[in-house]
Amino acid sequence: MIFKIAWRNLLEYRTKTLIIGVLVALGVGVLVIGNSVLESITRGMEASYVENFTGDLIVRNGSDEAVEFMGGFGAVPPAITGFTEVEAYLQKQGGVVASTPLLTSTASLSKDDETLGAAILWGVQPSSYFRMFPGKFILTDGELLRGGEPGILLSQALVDQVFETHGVELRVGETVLLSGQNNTTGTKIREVKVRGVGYYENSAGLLDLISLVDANTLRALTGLTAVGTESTPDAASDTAASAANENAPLEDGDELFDDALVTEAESAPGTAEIDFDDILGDTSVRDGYLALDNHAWHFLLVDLGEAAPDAVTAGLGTLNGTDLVVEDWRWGAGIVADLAFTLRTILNAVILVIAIVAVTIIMNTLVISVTERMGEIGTIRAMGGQKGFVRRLITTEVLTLTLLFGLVGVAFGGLTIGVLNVLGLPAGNLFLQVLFGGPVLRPVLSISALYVSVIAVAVIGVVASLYPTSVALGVSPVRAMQK
Amino acid sequence: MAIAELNNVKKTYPLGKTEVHALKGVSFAIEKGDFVSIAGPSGSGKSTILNLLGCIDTASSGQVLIGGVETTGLSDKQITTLRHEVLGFIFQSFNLIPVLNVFENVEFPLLLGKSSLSKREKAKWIDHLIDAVGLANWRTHKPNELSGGQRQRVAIARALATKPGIVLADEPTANLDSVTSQGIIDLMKQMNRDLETTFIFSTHDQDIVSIADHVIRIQDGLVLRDYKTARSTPGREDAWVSA
Ligand SMILES: Nc1ncnc2c1ncn2[C@@H]1O[C@H](COP(=O)(O)OP(=O)(O)OP(=O)(O)O)[C@@H](O)[C@H]1O
Ligand SMILES: [Mg+2]
Repeated sequence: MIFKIAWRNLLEYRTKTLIIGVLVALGVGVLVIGNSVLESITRGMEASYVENFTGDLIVRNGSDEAVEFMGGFGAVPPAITGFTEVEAYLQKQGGVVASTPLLTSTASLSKDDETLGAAILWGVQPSSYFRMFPGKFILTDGELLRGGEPGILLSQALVDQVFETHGVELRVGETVLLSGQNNTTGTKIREVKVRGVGYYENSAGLLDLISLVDANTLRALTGLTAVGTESTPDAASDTAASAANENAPLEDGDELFDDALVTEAESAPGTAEIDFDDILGDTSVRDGYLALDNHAWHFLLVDLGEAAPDAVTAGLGTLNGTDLVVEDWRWGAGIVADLAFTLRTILNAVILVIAIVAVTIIMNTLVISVTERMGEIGTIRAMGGQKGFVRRLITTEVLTLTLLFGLVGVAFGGLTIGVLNVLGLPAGNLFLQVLFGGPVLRPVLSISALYVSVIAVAVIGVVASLYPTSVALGVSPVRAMQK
Repeated sequence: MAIAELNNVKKTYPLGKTEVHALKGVSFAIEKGDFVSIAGPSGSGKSTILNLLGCIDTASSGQVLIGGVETTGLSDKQITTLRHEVLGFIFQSFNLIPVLNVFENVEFPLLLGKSSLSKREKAKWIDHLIDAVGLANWRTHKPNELSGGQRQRVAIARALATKPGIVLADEPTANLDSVTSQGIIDLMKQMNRDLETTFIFSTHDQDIVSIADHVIRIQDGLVLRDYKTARSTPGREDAWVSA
């Protein structure tokens, strides 16, 4: 009966019902559409980053500086201390499906004495890298890097950019010069052969400019030498390693690969300049500087499959002498992911404002309708209706109204998302492309947004009816007489 | 034992900085089954008395007893329950719930509290009441589809739905023409006889007063005359109960 009265009152006062209803439906629609789009963005971003770039976990060394994953413009963290132990430990963990180490840096690219611009470089271990991210770096020419073989896979976007601005074509098989600056060995120049050109799918912005290079070339550029990195891996201190040459068999990937085959292009000034006179006759110090630390890695990317991160990383802290930080894709994506999450926060703040406005409008409308119906409420009270009955009457009315139009809003939002999914939401500019992780976004209905909106609507209904209800409860039965 | 009783009841309303003494010490007793008219000129305090009898307003001083129960000091919940169980109301402007049809309006008071009746018994009782007030053909009509007289008939049926001991009606015919008014008063009188329900109604219409078997005349917040007519006490014409 209460529901019958509530329902008929809603029909009776159609204008008010529609005012509140449209407001509620719009709010819910915005909530559903906005959160669905943004959740699709973050989901897509997560999938894209986890599958293409970061894996589930990024293990790195602690650092006093704010460090970045991309090797774009932020600082690079120190190499992981005790890398071999960390890697061995993680590979023993049940949940770990795959892992691969990574180095990042930027270098200036030049060819035939012409500087062509900056390249973002990822130093990889080809064997594990292409096993963990199979087919993610899509070749347009040439072939992938092989273990122990120096070389670079240039980013297609970089190649295009260089051709556009300098008219220089970078082709597979040619040699390019990379020059990097670091605090250990100063400016370093390395000659490296272009093995392939390619791109990551769905990448945009900085990710588009990533080129993959063999690890030792990058170590040389960044000064990750045995002395410079303060770790003493067995291979690096072995002077025999520097005698190895390009023709030596290199089954064990870049572990065996060393500094010797690099062209002697060092022009290191300043801090890292070694006084050869002082140490003449004893080449161990010099070798220490020149020999690269084969175990120096900035990051260890871990693919967990379905395993929970905590179970895998829990024991990392107990590894002796290590200072590890475990990050996830969000950290790896850096500003782009922050942007998406910030947008979601902004959206929800906007919705909160809408909700407050909605509550105010609904509240006022309800107070008016309670005031208009004071005679009716008084009559009910006079006839023996308890306060609880009046409260239920109003709450039922408000909740019926808000939930009904909440559903309309959900349907409207769901339909819009469905249409957008079919048509696709085009990314009109680079900013959106970065955000969408591609030229078109096909948003999916967010189930959590549905829950949130239903709860939000119920809360709005209850909150908005508090004051009108208290007004109604204050109506004296004498009001029945005052008509 | 009196079913309703006022003992030296005073009621003052605040009016700006001053007070209006609406009742200045009113006492009377009403017996079960009486058909009582509270009569008096405008502003004399009729409505005030009915509001106090109906437990929808409280006295400034004095006692209000309903069914032997002293009503001052009862909680809102208790007094609401008392209203539901003992009292029925007929309003000057009918006060039907606009979104409910005739049957639902009559049924409504039964839904405000516990009822010992089964669903079928309820429906039968409500149909009986609707028949009794002559609206059998209007059961599914909404109030705005009825005439004033018909609406007041619905209100009478509704007031009787919970089988109350007392039905209160403050000028139930004030919004009706004289012919219709007569019909409504006759109906109330008939219900009073058939169901032995006490009816207390206020009016300033002399024709209507004459139907009552107990008349309480009010003037200026005081009882002017309180008498029972021959109808209630056969053999005693215009017997004075008090003066
Ligand atoms: N809520 C109130 N506030 C102030 N004064 C009131 C209030 N209700 C009634 N009064 C005053 O109390 C006195 C009695 O009023 P009451 O309504 O009981 O008279 P009545 O006999 O019902 O008159 P009527 O025939 O016009 O309905 C009047 O002087 C009236 O002005
Ligand atoms: Mg009056």
